[in-house]
Amino acid sequence: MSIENRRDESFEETLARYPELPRLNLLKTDVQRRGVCYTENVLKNVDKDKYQLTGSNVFFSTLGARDQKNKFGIPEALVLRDGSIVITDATPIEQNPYIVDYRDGAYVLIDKDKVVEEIDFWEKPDFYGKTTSSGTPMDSIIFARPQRLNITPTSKCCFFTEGLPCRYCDLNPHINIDGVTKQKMTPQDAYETVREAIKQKGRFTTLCMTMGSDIGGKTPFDDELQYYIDVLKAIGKNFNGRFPSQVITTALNYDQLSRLHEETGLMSYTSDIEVLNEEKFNWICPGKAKHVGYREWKKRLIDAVDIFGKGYVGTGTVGGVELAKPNGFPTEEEALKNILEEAETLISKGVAVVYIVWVPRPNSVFRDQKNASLDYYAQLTLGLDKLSRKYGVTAEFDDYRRCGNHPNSDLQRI
Amino acid sequence: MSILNEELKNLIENKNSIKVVSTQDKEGVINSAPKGSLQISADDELTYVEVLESSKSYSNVVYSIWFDKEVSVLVVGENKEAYLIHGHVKKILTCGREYEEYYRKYQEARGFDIAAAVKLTVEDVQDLNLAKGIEKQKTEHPFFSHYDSLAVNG
Repeated sequence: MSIENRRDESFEETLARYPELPRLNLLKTDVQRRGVCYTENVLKNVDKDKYQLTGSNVFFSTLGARDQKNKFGIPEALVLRDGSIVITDATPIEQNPYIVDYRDGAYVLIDKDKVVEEIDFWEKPDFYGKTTSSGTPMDSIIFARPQRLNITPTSKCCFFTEGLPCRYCDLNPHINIDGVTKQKMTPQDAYETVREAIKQKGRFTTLCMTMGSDIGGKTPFDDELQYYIDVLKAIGKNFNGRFPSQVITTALNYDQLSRLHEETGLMSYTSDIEVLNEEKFNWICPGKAKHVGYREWKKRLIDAVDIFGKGYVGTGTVGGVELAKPNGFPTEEEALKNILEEAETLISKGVAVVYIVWVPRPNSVFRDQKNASLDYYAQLTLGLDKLSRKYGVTAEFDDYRRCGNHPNSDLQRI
Repeated sequence: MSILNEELKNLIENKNSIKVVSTQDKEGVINSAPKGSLQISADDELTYVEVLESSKSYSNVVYSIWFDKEVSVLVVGENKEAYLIHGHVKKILTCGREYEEYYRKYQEARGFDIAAAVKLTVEDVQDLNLAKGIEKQKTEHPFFSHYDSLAVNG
């Protein structure tokens, strides 16, 4: 049976085909693939003081979600029994999401009227509701995953301004629609927020800073680089020397990467190539293709290994977007074969490759498309995991705990 | 009724008892590690702290919850009382207030941060007391002995 014909298979049928894949891992993938819908019972019972509910931060996952009506004031995301997390997308009931309900004093995940798993939600950190000395609300510039600080300093990407956005991305449209455009964060605000956040014992293990691309500067992306350096230097005053951290930037050249490494306490580097095929990359990510180019992007990632070291450099892909119509791969078999072959060219050079499940968002160019089958994601997870073990390339800076949004790096727990 | 008897409960709560958690990896290789933090957290539920995120012990516990593998806990008291507890991994806490509570307590007591708090179900208990075991074997397996130990005029 071809993968395409497995699109309508049940979760259990797919799970049975991959006994080496943990049930919780595949469930997480399917929840991301299909999204979630919260019952009134959840919204009525959820403790708003304890849990992190969706608000107005640019990178709150449910802004721009498939469900445009019910996206505020709902739990930000889920925690599973194994301590892994699931970043969710609020999805209208007619699109067949998993249901999150409150039953017998517990939050549960429901599929086809059956309880499939008990879950919990992300808890609110202590620094929420506080302000910096400039009066900026701390939760407007840094938002918390269960163990990571997400620093999202600006709310614009130059590729949108140029009319060349990545076709799956909704960053600029959703912030305009949701009205979350904000002032550019100052390094001092970042320093103060991190200082406050890390007072909470056991809460955070790392931080990740990312924003939209900024082409400006003498050399393209110099302005973006300088801003990362300024903010990381300020944040670094909270620690001695290098500290567990990640940035996700546009692919920087060797000199820029060297500056980023030498002038800050940054410990890892990520630049998301998004699509592991040159032709599809050019179509799906025209801004990245125009200003850096596919081959140069790959070269810069490999250069980064030289600077940051093996196990400290990664790239993210949007799993399944390579199948987008009309120019994506015509079949899932062909896509998988190509993507994994291309991933090996990076992993074999020390670059960790992780993927997120593509969610066609209503404010993106690809708004009306469908993501891949669960079987496709199962094979992608296992394929990337096999390659990372073959070449001994770990992604501890981007794993189940430091990030939590990549089914394949979750498998590195064992 | 709780599977844990009063003697075993007291042994678990006694700081001087030795508590060892055994798990297996995906090749079936057993790993045993002392877990002094083991405590009773609810009826037929034990919780202990995994300190090292990079340890074999932590990796195996994750493997156990992923693939529903049994975990055993050996508890040995100061007077050689011994019990073997069988169960499964119910939950791995890596975040949230409950996790942070374990984190703070351990950090205050030992000075380290921790990777996780692990909750185990208690499903079966074996009393490893040797004298009781010998009597039981005599009754249930009379062939499991040597003539010299049975001889009337030894």
